[in-house]
Amino acid sequence: MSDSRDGITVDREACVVCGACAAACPAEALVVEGLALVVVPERCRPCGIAALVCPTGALACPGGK
Amino acid sequence: MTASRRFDVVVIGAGPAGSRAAAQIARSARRVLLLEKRPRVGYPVRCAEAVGPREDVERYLPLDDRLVSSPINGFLVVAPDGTRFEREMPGIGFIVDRELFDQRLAADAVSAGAELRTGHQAMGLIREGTQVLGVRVKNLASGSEYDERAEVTVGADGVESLSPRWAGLKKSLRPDELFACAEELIEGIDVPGTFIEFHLGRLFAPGGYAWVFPKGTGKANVGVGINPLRAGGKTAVEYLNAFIAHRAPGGKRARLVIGGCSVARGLSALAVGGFVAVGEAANQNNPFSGGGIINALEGADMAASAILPALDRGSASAKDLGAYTREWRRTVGKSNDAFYHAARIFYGLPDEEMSRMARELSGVPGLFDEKGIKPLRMVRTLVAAHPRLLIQFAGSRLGGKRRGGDR
Repeated sequence: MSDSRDGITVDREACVVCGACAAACPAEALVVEGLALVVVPERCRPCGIAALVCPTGALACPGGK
Repeated sequence: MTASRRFDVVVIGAGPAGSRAAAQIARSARRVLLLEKRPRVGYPVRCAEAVGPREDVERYLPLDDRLVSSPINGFLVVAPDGTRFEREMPGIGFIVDRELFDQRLAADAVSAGAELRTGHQAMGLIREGTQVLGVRVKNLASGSEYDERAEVTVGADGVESLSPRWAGLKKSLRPDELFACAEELIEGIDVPGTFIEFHLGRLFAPGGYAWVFPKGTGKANVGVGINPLRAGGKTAVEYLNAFIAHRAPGGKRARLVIGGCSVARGLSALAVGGFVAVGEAANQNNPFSGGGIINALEGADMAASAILPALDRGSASAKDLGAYTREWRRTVGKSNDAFYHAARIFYGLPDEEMSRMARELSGVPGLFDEKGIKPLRMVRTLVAAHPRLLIQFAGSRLGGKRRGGDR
């Protein structure tokens, strides 16, 4: 398990819940539920992919490559 | 157990693919449940709204002026070096009001007898061995969960879909298997009549393209779709801002649309026992353009054509539903494969070569028919001009490895 500080964080102001991160997250740690982006921190194995694909820059993943 | 089933088919997602599949199955007097996680079908819009020929769409839904924002009668390509190519193609497509379009399709499913539940989300599949027996559903308003069993479950949950992943048909998209997209409806822009514009090159859209899709006089969807791996750490929104400053300075921003768009290779199988995937959830959109509405509707009809006889037989095994995979792979899936290879080659080119290729392609006789670009001819042209790409192409095609060829 990774330190949660290294995992994904969401800037809720910038996130528009488009689902791009959910499509790319290999661990299903990001899920679009209704009109909300739900993060499941215990599934996140910080890889940086979600932050990379986010169109708005709403995601940060300090532990990612 | 059959007695406890209230529905023959549960469809996850009321976008074009899901609503169309639900309508087609319900029309045959089958009991269909259509689940939509959003409170309102079609909203918010996650689409640049360009669609192919009207008559192709009218096979599925009658069109009127409210649905058609603007006709498309040709296109303009601006190559990275600024060279412009124009082609007039009357009736090649139209700009759709996507929110209303999705709502009309869902309404069609409901009039056919399907039950639509908005605000209800699929949380997982109910399985017995490899057979899918239904869906675990969450009522988002109350937070309560319940099981909905069905002979067949249809996964039409879009780009962020999890249901085909739960079914084992698909993995997460690689970052370069999606376009990161940002678009703004701009008011007060000079648009070239009913031509759509594509702008290529690193400056505005690395690994993808930027677009201007007119929505009537002085209005247009202006957007960018980029390959996140080629974006140099910048976001799609940053590229969009640069493109708007270039193409529509002073225009008024009226609606921001953000999304990921699958440009992944088609799935090798679209069905397991008791489950099929359709639409963008099944990577059915065109991997060159990202466009997917007509493909989704076609996929839905093919899926319904396999599901209905399976229901009649009372057997929905992987084998029973496999006819759907075969029909898709034989038709749209086949041209999508060519588009996939063309995209891998074309969007990977450095700017100078992309300009040269765009010039080359614009001069190829017979590259376009009334439906748009012919994918195989495009691949042939690209490969002829770039013989070294043949090795990559052959690798990805013959190797049968989903990730081969472009590394």
